Amino acid sequence: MSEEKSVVYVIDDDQSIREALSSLLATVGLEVHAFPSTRDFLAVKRPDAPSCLVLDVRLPGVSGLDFQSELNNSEINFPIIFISGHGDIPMTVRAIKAGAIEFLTKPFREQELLDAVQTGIQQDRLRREQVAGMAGLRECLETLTAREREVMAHVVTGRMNKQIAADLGLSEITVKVHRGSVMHKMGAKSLADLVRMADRLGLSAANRR
Amino acid sequence: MIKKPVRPRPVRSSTTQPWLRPAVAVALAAAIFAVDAFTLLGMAVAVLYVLVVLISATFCDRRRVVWIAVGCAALTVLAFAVSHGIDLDSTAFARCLISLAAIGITTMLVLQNKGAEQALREQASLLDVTHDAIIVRDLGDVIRFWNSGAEQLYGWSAREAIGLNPHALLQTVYPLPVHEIMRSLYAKDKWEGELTHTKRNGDVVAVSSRWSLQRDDHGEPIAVLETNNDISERQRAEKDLRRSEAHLAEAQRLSQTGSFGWNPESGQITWSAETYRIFEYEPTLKPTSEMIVSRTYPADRTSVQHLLVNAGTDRENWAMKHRLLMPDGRVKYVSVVAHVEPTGLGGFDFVGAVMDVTAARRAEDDLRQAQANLAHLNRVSTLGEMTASIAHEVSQPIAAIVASAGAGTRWLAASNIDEVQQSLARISRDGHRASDVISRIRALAMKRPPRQDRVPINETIREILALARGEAERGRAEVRTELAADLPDVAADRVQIQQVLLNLIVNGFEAMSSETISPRELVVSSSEDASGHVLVSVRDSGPGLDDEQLARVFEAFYTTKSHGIGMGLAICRTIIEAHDGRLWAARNEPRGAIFQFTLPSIDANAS
Repeated sequence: MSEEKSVVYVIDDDQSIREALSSLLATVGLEVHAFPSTRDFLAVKRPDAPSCLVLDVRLPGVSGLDFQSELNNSEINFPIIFISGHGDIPMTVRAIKAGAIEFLTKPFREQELLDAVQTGIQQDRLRREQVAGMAGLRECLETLTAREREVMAHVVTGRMNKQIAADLGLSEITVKVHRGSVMHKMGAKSLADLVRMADRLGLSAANRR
Repeated sequence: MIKKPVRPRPVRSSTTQPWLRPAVAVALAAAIFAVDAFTLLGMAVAVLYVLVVLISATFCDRRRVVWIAVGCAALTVLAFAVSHGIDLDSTAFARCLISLAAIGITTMLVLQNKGAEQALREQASLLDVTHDAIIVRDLGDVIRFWNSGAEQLYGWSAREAIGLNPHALLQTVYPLPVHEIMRSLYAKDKWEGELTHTKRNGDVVAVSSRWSLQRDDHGEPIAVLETNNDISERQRAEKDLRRSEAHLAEAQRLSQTGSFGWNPESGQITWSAETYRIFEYEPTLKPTSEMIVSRTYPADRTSVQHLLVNAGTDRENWAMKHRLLMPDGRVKYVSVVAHVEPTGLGGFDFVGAVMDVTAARRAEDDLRQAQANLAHLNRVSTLGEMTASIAHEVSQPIAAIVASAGAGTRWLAASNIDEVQQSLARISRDGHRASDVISRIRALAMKRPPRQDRVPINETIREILALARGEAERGRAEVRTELAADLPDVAADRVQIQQVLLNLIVNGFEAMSSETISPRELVVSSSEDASGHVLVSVRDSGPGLDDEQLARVFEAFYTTKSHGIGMGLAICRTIIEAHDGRLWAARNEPRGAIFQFTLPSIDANAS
């Protein structure tokens, strides 16, 4: 568990609902930001923390479902929990297909919402960690020299040092040194580790040849 | 010597030549004078002058007769002087005096006779002046007198008629056997009745006939004087009158309108047959104001009595509507109008009409009831269409309550009393909100008679918008309000005005329901117009209305929607017009429709 405080965003045009949900979510120590419309939500600066969005399906101007697709096409991709005065099945299906965590019909039991919110935050935290891991790998990659990258590309395809040396016109010793340096700079504990990293960075097939 | 013109031939009195009698008289006078003056007959020759006076009486008036008599006397004296000089010989002088006396006496008698004759002639000419036909017939039924009135009426002249039998001539038709008429005539000396006669030209004429029996000095009947006048015209007029009265009675019965006359001074009232029928009194009763009051519905009696007391002094045309209560408990509605009809001598009558408007009143009541039912149906069906939205409106505060309750429980466990209190306050507030929504819906769904409330229009708009918010969200429309501050209240039935607003607002959302419309904006505004009316308008940004739609949109059963029966706007207009307001539609700029209505404010009503 991270030490940073998780944030829940509530968008509902009904003030009573906003107040009640804010209070409820505060009981489990969550930071709650409530907005009457999507416009207001988009207008504020959001803290960099694991977050999730509690979204009313019916909103003035634009529907919650439309807003979901809007968000999916943007860099904001918090897990979404829909709440609705009256849910119908097509609406629910559409929401879930588009990645919603939960579709709750008002009035809902408070535990249902709290559970859904916890799930959402957990999901977001994982996603954040993933995103954070990628960023580390990229940073490591940046430290490699052009030659080292070349060598790495060959190594992760499973080629022997001798073969690489022949391909690149280097001595086997030089390849060996570069290989050690790549393993060190990338923080790879084994060849398999390095291959996985290259996979995530999308290097494996790209620099073949 | 006095020379008189001498006529060659003395002739017997004749009526054919007017100059004959004066000639005879002059010749006679000359002859007597000659004998008297120039013969010495020892007798009173001058007595013969009485013949001259008598003859002159047939062609002279009274004055001339007197002058002729004086002339004769003068001739007598002159002849005495010629034959005897101034010698007053006793015997001759005595003869002269006797002659003068005879002339004097004769003249007096002639004059008396002449007076009577003139009176008679004057009377006869009077009979000719009258238009009545006057016929005198003797007891043998022979016409003895026939005046010019009879000539004119029947066509025969007096000369033709006199001497004939009147019954045969006139082909008299009697109402009774003739002998009965005669018996009555002899018993009472007079008889009156209506006869039918046939004129010379063959026309039949109805006459009113008065007979009187003439008796002589000894009381013996001698003749019958018959006075007839033409009543055909009168009979025809009477018949026409009877017919038009019959028509009037029929018209009164058909139109259930009775007429009446009322003299406030004498209190005398007359009623037509239909008025009796409306009040349900026997036509034999003489109408009185007490009869009117006792048939009047108890609650209306005061005003009717007030009118009965005051109308006489007010002397003005009046009209009133009130109810009647029949002995069997039936209630009738009557409309009464009366106008002043001067009677001369400064008096006046009221002449008026009483109309039984019960049927019309019932129809009006039924119509009002039907309209109320229809309006109620429309409210209920509008609410029915909004069920989903309304459920949302109710479930929203309930969801908030459930969430707040959950939060409160958790805060309680955490002993955060402050948050617990806030949660409870929210629960209470949201509970009231839910119940407000429900009572608003119940008021709209309830069936109740219309009434006058003091309606704050802005508050009503907000309430209805709160109720229709679900509809707005469902239709993804944005709602804006532009409500003028300090608007006067309107005098109206609150529920009905809510109904109109709801209809217009829901219509606006429906007009914008097509996917292609953007933005979807509904603006509800209120203001006060120049005439002190409150103006409310509902504008949408939908496709708007074309000319035909604008013209017909308030017609019953006209609809531009795929569902619905097209009664909503017709009902709205009925409601607004029943409140003395106006509801109309127009185009909104740049697009869409605008529906607006006015209602008189309470202040405008009061002034």
